[in-house]
Amino acid sequence: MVDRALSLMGVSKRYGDFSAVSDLSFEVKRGAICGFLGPNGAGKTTSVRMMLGLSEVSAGRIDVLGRPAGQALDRIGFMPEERGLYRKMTPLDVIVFLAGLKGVKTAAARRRGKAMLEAQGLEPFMNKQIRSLSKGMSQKVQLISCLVHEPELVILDEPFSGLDPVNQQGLETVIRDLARQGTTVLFSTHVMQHAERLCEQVVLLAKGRKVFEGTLQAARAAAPRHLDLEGALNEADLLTLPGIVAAVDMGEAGDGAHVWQCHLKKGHTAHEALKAAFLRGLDVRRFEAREPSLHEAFIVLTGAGHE
Amino acid sequence: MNKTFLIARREYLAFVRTVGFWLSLFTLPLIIGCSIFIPILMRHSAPVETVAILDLSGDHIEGTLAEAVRAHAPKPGMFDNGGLKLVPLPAGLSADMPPEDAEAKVPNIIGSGQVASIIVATDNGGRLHFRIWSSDGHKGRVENLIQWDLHGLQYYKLAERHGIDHSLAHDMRESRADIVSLTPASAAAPKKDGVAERVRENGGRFLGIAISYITWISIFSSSMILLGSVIEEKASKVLEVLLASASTESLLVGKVLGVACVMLTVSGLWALTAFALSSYGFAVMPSGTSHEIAAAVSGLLSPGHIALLLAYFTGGYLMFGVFFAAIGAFCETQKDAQAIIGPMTIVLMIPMMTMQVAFTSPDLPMLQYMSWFPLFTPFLMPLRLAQPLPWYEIAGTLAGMGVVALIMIGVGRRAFRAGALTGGKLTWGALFRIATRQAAN
Repeated sequence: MVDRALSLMGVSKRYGDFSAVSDLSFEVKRGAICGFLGPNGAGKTTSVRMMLGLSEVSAGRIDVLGRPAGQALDRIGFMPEERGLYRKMTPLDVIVFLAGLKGVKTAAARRRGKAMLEAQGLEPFMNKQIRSLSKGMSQKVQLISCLVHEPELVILDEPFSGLDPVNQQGLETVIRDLARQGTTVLFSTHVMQHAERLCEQVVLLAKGRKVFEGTLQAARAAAPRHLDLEGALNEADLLTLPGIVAAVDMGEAGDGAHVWQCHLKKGHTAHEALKAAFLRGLDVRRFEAREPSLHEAFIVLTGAGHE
Repeated sequence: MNKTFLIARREYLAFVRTVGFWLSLFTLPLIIGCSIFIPILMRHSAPVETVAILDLSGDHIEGTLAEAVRAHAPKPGMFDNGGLKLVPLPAGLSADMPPEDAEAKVPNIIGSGQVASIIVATDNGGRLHFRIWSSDGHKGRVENLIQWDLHGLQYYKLAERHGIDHSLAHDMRESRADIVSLTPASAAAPKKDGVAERVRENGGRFLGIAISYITWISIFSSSMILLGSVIEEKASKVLEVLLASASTESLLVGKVLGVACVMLTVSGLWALTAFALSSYGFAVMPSGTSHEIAAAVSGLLSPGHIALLLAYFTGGYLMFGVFFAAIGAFCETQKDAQAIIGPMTIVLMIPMMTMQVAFTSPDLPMLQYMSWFPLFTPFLMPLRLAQPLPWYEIAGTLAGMGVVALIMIGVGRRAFRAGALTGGKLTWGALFRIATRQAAN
């Protein structure tokens, strides 16, 4: 068995003169949770469609579960960004129908569908038309439809969009459970908090190009560290400290003091800057060295902060 | 194949489970029934019209006129209301009064409602002159019913003036030439009279036009169902999920097949109804006639003929069905589809417009040329098949239609996929780019 669930090699997608995805390469190991991150319009949905074989690649190659894209559809669960179901069908009928398209026999699909609907608390709505369900319930039905055939790879395009915090948490649990059972999960998002909580691996996309691939720690390391200083300080003094490239006044802290957020240059530590500040006798009353969040790393890596 | 079947089954069940389907099932028979029976009912539901006769002609034709009116007396029965009822002359009118006085009084009598119509007969220099007065809304009805008799009176008056014997004049008036229309086939067949013979003579044309209409209605309805179904899937965002589960071919073929099954269900139920009605008709007919008609009808549709009709229907259904399904993939509302559907509907309407002429003259050169145009072929060829056609016309039109159907399927498949994954506006330009493979997939 191939240990890679997904493999993209030099994939590009062009629409006339416009390049939606350029030279994208990355791999996802089996059983991993991979966050496919990027701002809106970065090319995430286009890439996902190419992985599913819905859209042809202009260049490069995609292998999914050891086969070319589009040839292992029955082993993939997919939930698109724009979600929808047949409004006049019942949840159970939709689940059985979509499972049937993935090769699951009707009886098995019905049994699994019922169990999953019960697990999600949707048993009373099993035979009601989908149009009578709330948005949250419909989204649960959509997720069940995507998982009922027990796929080896689950691709979720912006799965958290439109969900309330309770359902977002529920979905995170589902994703963790899938990975625990050995299912590979790739989900796209532009909200970093979910990736931060779920992923071992992230791939960052900006303007159709991969700007980062690796672990969360590596992603964070790409962003500058922060040193928050509180005291009667000014920007000019702070910028003379070693490693500090920017200082932002975050507001008054009382008694003539201000809170300053200082950005450290890559390779420099907070210790150096603090030591220098004390040696020069600067009025530092409180300090805190902070790791950058994935969100901050995302902004730095995608260059969004400069746009 | 299994996926295609699943998609077809869902499509079929989604449609036949709706109330709208069962309503639409009865709509066509109802429309046909209404269009036949309502005019009959309207014609016969007219009230009985009272008619008085004032003969001022001096020819003593009152009796003959009365006979003509009585011949249109109301008959009993559901559809036989209406007709004329002879009533005595209203007070104030008499056969010896001057015509001017009569003319002065008649309008008031009619206005008073004593009688619905009064026929005033006068002599106008040797020529009978009938002035038929009627109340508002009744003008012309009496004339329509008895004008043949009124002209006859003038005819006999003229004959008498020229010394022609009345019985000879009568024979001359009733005399008709024998006219027979023949074809080599009908001339060779043994001559019989009656309903069965008329079915044998004209049944082919009736059947041809009936099948053409049914083909048109079926293809148009199916195309609209497919369009609506795909639009619904596009609007509810299901299409992308489906494409991630089944190939475009499975999806498209499944949908087309599902809707074809819907149409087959409709046709089957209509055929069953027609069979039941015709069985009842045969049961009440004299047994000899019913057997002859049954033989004549079955003779009109040979297995080869049925196979050709099915081939033309299938080709037409594929051409238009796949095209409309592909259009639907671009649209989230029916309004979005109008830019493309409008011109296509006009194309579909053209053969419909020719059918009336084609019925009387199925061998017109213009019709022959039009039936070679693949988009018209499925509607016009069933009509033309009522007469013997050279094999190359059948083979040529089938081939032309087949090629266009294959092109439509090819383009439709690409357009369907492109449309399902984009939110762009549908234009003829976009369709052209897809057809010429310029659109990125």
